[in-house]
Amino acid sequence: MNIIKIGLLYLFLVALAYCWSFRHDRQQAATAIKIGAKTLCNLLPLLLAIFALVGLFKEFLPPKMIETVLGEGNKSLSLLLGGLFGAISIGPPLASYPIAGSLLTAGAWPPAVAAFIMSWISVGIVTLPFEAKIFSWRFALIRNLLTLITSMLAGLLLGGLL
Amino acid sequence: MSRFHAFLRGLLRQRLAGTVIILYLWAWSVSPAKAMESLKYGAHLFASISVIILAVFALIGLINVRISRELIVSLLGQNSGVRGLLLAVGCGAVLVGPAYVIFPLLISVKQLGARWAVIAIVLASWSLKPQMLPIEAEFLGFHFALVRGLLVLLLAIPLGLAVEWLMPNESTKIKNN
Repeated sequence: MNIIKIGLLYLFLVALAYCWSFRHDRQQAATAIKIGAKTLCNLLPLLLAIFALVGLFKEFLPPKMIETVLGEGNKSLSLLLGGLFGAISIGPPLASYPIAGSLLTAGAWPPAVAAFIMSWISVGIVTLPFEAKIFSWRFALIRNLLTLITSMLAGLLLGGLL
Repeated sequence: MSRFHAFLRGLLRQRLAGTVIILYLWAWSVSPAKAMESLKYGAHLFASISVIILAVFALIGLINVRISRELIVSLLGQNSGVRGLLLAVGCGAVLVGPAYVIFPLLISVKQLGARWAVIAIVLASWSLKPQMLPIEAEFLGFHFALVRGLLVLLLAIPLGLAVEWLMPNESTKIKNN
């Protein structure tokens, strides 16, 4: 119920922004709706797959195992694995939140989960060839490596600040 | 969008969906009851978050038409010291779109004369995802989302400068052109 309430509140605020936008420029607001709908439709199959995956995580991955791999027991290893898991994952950032949430509730160490999200969003092993093609291999490799390190650093800082 | 990008996108999506289907087949062979439970849990989670997802994508559409790519290009095209770097952080934070849209956009900014640091900073602060904040807060807690966002912004400039420092100096090359 709580999630739905927050969702409705958020939807209400966005609807207000649309009302304002409609009064400002009808055509532009219509385009905005179209773009939003198209983006959502494009991502829908992926989202469904992700939520199905989260369900599998919950049923089949014993919390004990997550605690061993990503838990507080071996902090530096958890941090490194969190960053690496995030780096090799594919999918939009939206997909990382439910997965990270399930890891967190299963007993993962929060800094490792933070590193996981950060590197999920900004380190892309899968998109590396694409990034290299556009920017050059040197830039792509340097940026991804430094971002991975930064993700782990940010995870540690986040652990300290929470 | 070129055919190559569309193909790359399709491939990425199918790979994940395919993997999940294979995992479910495996799960079904191990325990049909648990596989059903997984599916139910996933569906329940998706249903509960669907309202927020709807709102977020409506917002993404609005941002797309309100903040034009040309505007961002013009702001980042300037080679303007610390202000340019700060601007890069802000632009990255409000930039919406997947990698296959952002990368080509940024290389066009680069070709307009932006520093490597600007490109790297935009890519770093791009992971802030303010439009996703309600969803992130829902799954990970408000504090987690807030602190993570602050860290993304704080670390973007050092990261960008470090990337630039490791890139070859281009001033001579530009002069030759």
